[in-house]
Amino acid sequence: MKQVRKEFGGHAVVKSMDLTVASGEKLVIIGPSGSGKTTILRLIMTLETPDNGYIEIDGELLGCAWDSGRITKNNNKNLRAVRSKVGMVFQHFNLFPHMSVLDNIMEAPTRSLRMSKEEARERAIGLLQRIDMVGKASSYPGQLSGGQQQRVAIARALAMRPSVMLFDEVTSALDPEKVGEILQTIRELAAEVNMAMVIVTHEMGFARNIADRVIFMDHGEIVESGPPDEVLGAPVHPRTTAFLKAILDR
Amino acid sequence: MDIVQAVIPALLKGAGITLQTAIQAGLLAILISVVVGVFRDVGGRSVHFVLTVYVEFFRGSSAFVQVYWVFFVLPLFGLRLSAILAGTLVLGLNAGAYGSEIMRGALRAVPPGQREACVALNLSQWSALTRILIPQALTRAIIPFGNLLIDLLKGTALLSSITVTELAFAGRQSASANGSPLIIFSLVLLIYLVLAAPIAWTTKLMDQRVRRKLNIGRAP
Ligand SMILES: Nc1ncnc2c1ncn2[C@@H]1O[C@H](COP(=O)(O)OP(=O)(O)O)[C@@H](O)[C@H]1O
Ligand SMILES: [Mg+2]
Repeated sequence: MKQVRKEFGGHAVVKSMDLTVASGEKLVIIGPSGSGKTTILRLIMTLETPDNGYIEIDGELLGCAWDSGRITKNNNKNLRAVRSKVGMVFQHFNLFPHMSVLDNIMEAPTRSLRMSKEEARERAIGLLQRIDMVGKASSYPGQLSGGQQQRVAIARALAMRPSVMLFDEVTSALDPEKVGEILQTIRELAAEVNMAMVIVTHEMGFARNIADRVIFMDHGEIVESGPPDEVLGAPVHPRTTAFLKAILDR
Repeated sequence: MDIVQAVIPALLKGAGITLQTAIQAGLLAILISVVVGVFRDVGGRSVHFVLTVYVEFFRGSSAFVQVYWVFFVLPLFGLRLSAILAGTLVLGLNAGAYGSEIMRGALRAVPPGQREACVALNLSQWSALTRILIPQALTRAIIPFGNLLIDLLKGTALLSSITVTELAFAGRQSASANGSPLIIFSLVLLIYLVLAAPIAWTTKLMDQRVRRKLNIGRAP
């Protein structure tokens, strides 16, 4: 993403952001509430459109195009093709409540990737095995605990085999004792598949463990960026230090 | 009791016409509700404009006049419809206008996270609508649609104004032929209740089942 800017009501929430995520890289974004972390993920997921700058996935422009040296907005032609490389897991799961767990996972592969039902089911069952929820395949989301729902949401996003997966505070709506199992699921995934991950979290132990790189954001800007040991262990910027101290004191 | 035996056949015949009209107009109304309710927000500006005119026209003018218009004025332009067909169309279009507002509200009540999940899963707009958003909107619209159908059933009395011998008109004819308005109109009321009750029961049952399955709590 290059020089990406996003304003809401004249207020710049993301200010000229340059950010590159390498293939397979696990990037963790931390920062105080309101610093623009969610907005960045939503921009990459095309849930928001940038006011300036552009985003590329695997070298292809997302929702825009070059036109004689300038970026033109709203090029929807290749939007879906490029977007299929991105997946996202939300804070509040957003499972489809009127579909069983299995159908939730099969929906996008059959509709969007035009996969056969059999193939999609096989893939879905494989994912359910991995999150240890085969027994719940025919349950509805409303019958599951928050932690179970979030694991299904992760499986649902994985079924599309994106090349980059976005996680937005995926444990902050869960009971404290369920947080561990979700983080464990993500850690296992990170170890298994060569998929880039952009993870927004307030779980510092998890961040340190999973990240190749950590970014600290404040007021829509990257304040500090580097390996987890540096940013989390020996931050150079006073704002980072203050933020980490505030988190630890909580 | 003789009077009851005397008028029952005529009343039941009227009830049959009422029921048939209500079912046909009801199907038309639900179809219109869903299509108009969805496309008013999803279609382009001109679609939105045309559909808004349709909705406001039928909500803003008297159904009595509409049915007169279709039955007595359209023939002047060479389009002659049977009384039942004219009545069914007007009833269906009328209820459809109200129903489309129900559907629109229900679609808007689907949490934004559902749309966002559709984008994140890269579903086409068509898939998102038909597979995710409309089904969820419908689960919220069961009870209001049931009420709409009951209103529509009662509204079939409108057809008596264009000579259709539906239940209300059959009652009036029987009363003027036999006297005993008390008994006859009580019977008519009873028959309306019997016709409406299954709609209320069925929609309530459907609503409860859906709520239990989706675990979304009781109706507000
Ligand atoms: N759709 C929106 N409309 C208006 N303001 C928004 C919108 N989305 C986010 N904001 C504002 O942008 C700022 C950054 O939000 P967000 O990206 O959610 O931060 P974070 O995820 O770091 O807490 C906040 O001040 C928030 O109120
Ligand atoms: Mg956020």
